[in-house]
Amino acid sequence: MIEIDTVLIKVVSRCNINCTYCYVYNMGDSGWAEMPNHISSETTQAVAKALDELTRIQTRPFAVVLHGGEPLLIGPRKLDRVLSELRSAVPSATSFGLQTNGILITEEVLDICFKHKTTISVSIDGPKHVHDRGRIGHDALGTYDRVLEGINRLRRHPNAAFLFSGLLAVIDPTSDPGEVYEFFKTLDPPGIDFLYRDGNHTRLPEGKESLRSTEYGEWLARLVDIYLLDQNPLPIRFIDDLIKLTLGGKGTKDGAGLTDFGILVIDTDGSITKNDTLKSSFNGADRFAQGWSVQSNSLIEILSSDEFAESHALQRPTSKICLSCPELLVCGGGMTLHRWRDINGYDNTSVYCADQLLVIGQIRNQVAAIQAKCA
Amino acid sequence: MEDLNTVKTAEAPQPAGIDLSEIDVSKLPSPVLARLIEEVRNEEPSGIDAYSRFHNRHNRSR
Repeated sequence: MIEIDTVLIKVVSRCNINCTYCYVYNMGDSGWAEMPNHISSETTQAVAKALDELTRIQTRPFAVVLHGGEPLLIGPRKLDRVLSELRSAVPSATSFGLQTNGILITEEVLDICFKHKTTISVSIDGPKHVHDRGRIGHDALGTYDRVLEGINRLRRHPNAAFLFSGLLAVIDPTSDPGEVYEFFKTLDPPGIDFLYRDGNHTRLPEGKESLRSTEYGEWLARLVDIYLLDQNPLPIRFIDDLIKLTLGGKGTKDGAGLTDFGILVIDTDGSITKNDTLKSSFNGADRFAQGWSVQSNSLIEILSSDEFAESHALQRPTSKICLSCPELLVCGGGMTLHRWRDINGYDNTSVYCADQLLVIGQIRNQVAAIQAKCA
Repeated sequence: MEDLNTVKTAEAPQPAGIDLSEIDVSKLPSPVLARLIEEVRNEEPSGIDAYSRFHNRHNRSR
């Protein structure tokens, strides 16, 4: 049986904004349109039963993440009920969090999250002129001002030290990484994570000219230079993972290192899906052929199945190029969705292969230089 | 579209071995590197925040 690290629950299938690069809505998948807008009370009860089952069939602790769409579209009262129901099904130490665009953060939402010991991570891409390029509303206007208002409300909350888990940013390779990093430091989050824009070999990510080009790698390499010499650094999860992997340690998320993470995704109708980021590959790429759901199937049946094991194994690269690469243990072949090509599936390097190699090389050079200084 | 098989791994930097036991982190001019070396030295495997589209503080002791 595959053991689970993160249970991702989509409590809302729609979003109140329309980021240009979003893997859910703007990369060809239309699965969201067939889903209920919000998770129902009956589905929430079925999810709670599934969580209860998970605590009984595995010893490994797992995290629960509310996601969307925009999870806060569920509204405060229903958020309270969903969190109460799910919390009651798992040990009290279970980590709960939600990922939001920040616009609907209110005092009431923050109090509810604190009541249910649920942390909040906010998606923001940088200062206004960077953020508003991609993170726009359905009216095509930038969302920065509304997002910042939500973040500031979160920061002012008396329990912000618990509630504020960090920021999540998608890289704009045309931006200045130093400016973006310094901006995030002014928001004083406990940490920041950066994501590559989604894309694959058939549909190159926005801002990437070719497989050989290194726009994202150069951006990250410049950030590595700044970060490693910063005397008051803001932790950057992705770079931390790459550095730790070069030092012989372990990464914490898929996309760096050879990972074996168990991710269980539950949609608003209770259906169990593959890692939802695969939506960016083709329409329906995240759907299991078995059509499992929390209402009709036990988790032990799903997690012991060949189909779930095959999906789980996708996080490890199969390309001969990756398997013979000297940086395989650090890069790990990047994220699965970035390996997709219409003619041969995921049996490829990451579309960010050249970028990954560049930034890993920069980390190795900088670490060696720092060591040499104090030798 | 360019063929992915033409991206040569020979261009990849060669990993250099680092013996962490010989590094005195108090002398490092990089707080980031000092922290991460300590984290690797004291590493406990944990993947409970493994999903990439959610950011949780990844070291609560910090």
